[in-house]
Amino acid sequence: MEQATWLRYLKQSILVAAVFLLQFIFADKFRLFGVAPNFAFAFVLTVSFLKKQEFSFYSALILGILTDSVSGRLFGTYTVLFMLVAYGIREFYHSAFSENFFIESMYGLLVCLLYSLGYAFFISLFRGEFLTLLSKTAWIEFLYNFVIFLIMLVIQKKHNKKHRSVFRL
Amino acid sequence: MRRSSRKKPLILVLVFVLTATVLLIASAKNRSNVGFIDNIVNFTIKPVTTFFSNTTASVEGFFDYFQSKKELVKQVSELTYKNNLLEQKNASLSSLETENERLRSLLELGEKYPTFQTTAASVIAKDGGNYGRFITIDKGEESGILVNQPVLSQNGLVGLVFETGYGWAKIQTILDPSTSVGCRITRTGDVSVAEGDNALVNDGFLKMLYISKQFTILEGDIVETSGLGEIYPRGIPIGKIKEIKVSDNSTSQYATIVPTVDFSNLQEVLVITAK
Repeated sequence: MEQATWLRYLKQSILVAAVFLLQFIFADKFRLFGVAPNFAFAFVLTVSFLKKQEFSFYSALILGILTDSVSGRLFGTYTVLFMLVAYGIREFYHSAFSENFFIESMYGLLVCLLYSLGYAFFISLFRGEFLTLLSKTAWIEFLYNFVIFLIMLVIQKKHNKKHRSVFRL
Repeated sequence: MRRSSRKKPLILVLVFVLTATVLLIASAKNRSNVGFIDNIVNFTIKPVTTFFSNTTASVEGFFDYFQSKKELVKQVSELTYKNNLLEQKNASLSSLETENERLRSLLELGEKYPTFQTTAASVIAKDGGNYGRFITIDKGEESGILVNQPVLSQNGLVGLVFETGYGWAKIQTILDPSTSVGCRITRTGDVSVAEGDNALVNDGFLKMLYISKQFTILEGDIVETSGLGEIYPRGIPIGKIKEIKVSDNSTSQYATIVPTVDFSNLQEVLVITAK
């Protein structure tokens, strides 16, 4: 394998590890109205807009499994959701549009909304109180995730503009 | 040819999604059904999370020092290189002092509950999610930690052991909306149930249910474990009554409890391994 490819894989692995640490050690410090952002989800969403889509699939899989292992009662929800996000962007974005920041942001907004609504609905199947979950958690989480996604997207765009070869994601 | 290469990711995604769905159904019945995956993942990530959570605690102590001395730092901006060195030394001493205090509190924690056999452990990860409140500690079944054992901190009740493996255990805190604890009001002895609540979890509060109108409950009353049920021993502080409200059917009341444990800064816990 070429050195450039190795470097890229190394960099991608470090990024995934950093996002994992951000989520499970620092996310609690970022709570706003008691709601924490999902850095792992925002990261998977951001990298799904990259042209090299295998990175989005493997980061969705790894971050999904890690998130499922550390959090909560049910195993598999995050893995399924992250994989679907990565695949959904591939099918419904890359097949229809070329790279465009505005359209990517709008897609991101929609996916963040669907994710927060979908997850709240899923949890309400076990606990009920969908409207409470919606008003107390889901909408704040949606906005928070979208802001984190936008920040990550801007960083990724700037980074890829600056590094056109080896260090490009 | 092109079509098959396009279908490849779809097949892979389908395989992973189906596998994850099977695991999801299995874990919905009982989380220990997927214990082998949890064991592999948690055992693998433990050194990293332990290192980073310890570093975070030290860094927080370091920055706390500078924050409280912000004004002073502004004034000494003209100080010489030697003074800066002294400042740095002071900061690292302060950080060491914080660590020392944490370790001392851990020791005192064990002495506080002498009748129980306990194991002290450090928090290495928090789930960071919004629909549950779980934490991971750095000790597991090798230290005698088993599922459903109560977990305390120096200030009161933290929760119970939800899942355990080699070198790690997952704790379901009392804030989690799917948990409930038998409780009593210390002043009156009235018995009730405290549980995590979807509407209160983000504020870090608990809900106390089934409060009959005959109860003479007051704001500020201390709530502790009742000892009813098989998990929690009697007399462990849970929190303080913040607010009392009448239920929709107006036959009973419910109250909001502020937990005695500061879950956002929880670093050490004590697991009761034998009562």
